[in-house]
Amino acid sequence: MDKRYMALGTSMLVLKLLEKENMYGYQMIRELEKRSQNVFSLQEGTLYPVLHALEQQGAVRSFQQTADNGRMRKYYSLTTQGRKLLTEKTEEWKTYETAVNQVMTLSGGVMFG
Amino acid sequence: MDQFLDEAVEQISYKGIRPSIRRELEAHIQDRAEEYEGQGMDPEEAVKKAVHDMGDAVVVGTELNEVHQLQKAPGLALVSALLLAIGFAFALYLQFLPEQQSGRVLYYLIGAAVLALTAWKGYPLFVRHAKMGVMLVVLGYLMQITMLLAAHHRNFMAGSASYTYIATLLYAPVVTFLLYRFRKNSRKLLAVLFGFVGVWFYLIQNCHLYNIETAETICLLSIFATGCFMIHREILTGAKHRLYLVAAGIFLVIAGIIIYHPPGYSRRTFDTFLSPESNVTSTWDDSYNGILIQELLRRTPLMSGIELTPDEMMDYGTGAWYFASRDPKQIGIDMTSMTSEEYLEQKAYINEIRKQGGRPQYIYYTRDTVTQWDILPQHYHNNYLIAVCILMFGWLPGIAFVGVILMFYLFLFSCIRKIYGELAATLAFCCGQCLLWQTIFYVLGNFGYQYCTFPNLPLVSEGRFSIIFNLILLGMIYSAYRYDHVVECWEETYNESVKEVLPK
Repeated sequence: MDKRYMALGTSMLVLKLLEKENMYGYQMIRELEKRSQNVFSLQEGTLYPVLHALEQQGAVRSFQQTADNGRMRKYYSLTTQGRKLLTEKTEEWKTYETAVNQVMTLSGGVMFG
Repeated sequence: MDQFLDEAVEQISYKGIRPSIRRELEAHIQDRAEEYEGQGMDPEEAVKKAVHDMGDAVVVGTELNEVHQLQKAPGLALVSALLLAIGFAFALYLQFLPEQQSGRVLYYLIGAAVLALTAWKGYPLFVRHAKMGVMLVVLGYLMQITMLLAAHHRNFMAGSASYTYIATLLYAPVVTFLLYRFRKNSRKLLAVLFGFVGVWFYLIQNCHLYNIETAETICLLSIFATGCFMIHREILTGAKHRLYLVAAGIFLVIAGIIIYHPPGYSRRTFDTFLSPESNVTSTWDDSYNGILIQELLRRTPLMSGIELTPDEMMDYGTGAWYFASRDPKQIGIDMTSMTSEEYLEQKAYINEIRKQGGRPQYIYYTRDTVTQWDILPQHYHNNYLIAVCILMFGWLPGIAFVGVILMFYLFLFSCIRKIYGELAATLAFCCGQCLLWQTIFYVLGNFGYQYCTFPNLPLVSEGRFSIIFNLILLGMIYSAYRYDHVVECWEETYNESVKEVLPK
């Protein structure tokens, strides 16, 4: 997977993961790997700048909780603003995907989807 | 692992945020290492691989540093400095006028230093020592309640009115903090609102010695607006329309108490505000100041100050322009160049007029000596800086002055809107509301619509404790904005929310 392509979608994927439940960073990485069948295997540290930037935009909110093993975990949850952002990003993504598909179809290539 | 963590956090310029980021990254590495161990890897190898999975420490740290920067607000700083300079220049100018005895220039300089200090360290200090701060404030209020009780029962006014005015305004951020603190516990929240706040408002409402109805109104409006802001931002959680209804309900109940209790007094204040002319009885009334200022502003040209003949100035100064056809007993009486016999004669005449309901002012200037400063309402020039600016220089400079004030609030609320931290945004919004409502009432007063006593124009008038107090409020907003990306909110507060939202 092209890294630039990956970066474009990382924040959208993070928002999507948080749509159903609150998660901490490592949990998100695991879930991302699981859902993408290990296709999305990013350098794990780079998730945090994305998460912190989303937090500052008001798209996600964080809180801390001590796990059973005594480890402090920072959970993230999606805000109403984050849901709106997710809708916008999904729309953007669809436009991008349609454009790519159209180019590939015209060139006689395969379709994404 | 330590080497990775050290290297990553060293890239972050604001040191205060480093420990929490380090903890988050460390927990991630430990979780990953545990997973590898579960797959049969030996512990040392597991940690090494988990660290490797994190990527380049410098890249991670640099990207985090880009997110966690101290923020600057140069536009707001510039307009604030401009307003403060206008206030300082005005105080300096008034100090040299024989009609004025301002002497408050020093407070602007102290205020500027206080602003810089609060902006520099205010919010982080508040977050660190909030509990101690709240305890001090509670002690302060207990002291003040004692003062109010003394005033209520013994008709004795302890402390100064301006202190009580400021303390009442300060109540808005204190209540806001309590709203934030107990936002997850509706019982405690209601207890705070109806107990603590109720007692306070009841006492204030029954102590007319302090005459702080304007501060009380500003405080109430600021709290209400901040409550709505918290609902809008989902800091107060629940069904939004229901929360708005509750907020409006509480607001109306308290506003009703302010306007209707005790019967007559506050209602009159409200009527005077809406229709000053219907409540003028003498030149001593605030409502008279309102209609005088409206009359003078009507006569002021666009590009230059008002020009009046000495006769016209005497008419305005004595109140003859208004009362000659309505109630001549209220027209000011000449008290210049009198022998002691003439003075006694005049005093006897005034006493006679007073018996008939007249309340004339003593006039100590004549047609030859009168200046425009003599005709301005009661010489309270600090209360009429915008109006005075229009009268002296014309409408255009006056509008420019109002434009600077408007620009200040545009910059201010644009900064507040960008604050993400819940506590920081809530407090900053509340402080901004305190400043805004003071300005709104001040500006309205300058165009003849005075509500109760005059508030201050933040940063500009008047130059005593109010200047310093308002600059502390502004400093807290700067500080909350400045540290928004680097200060983390209270963990225990979040723990409460975790219990509610954690997946089971």
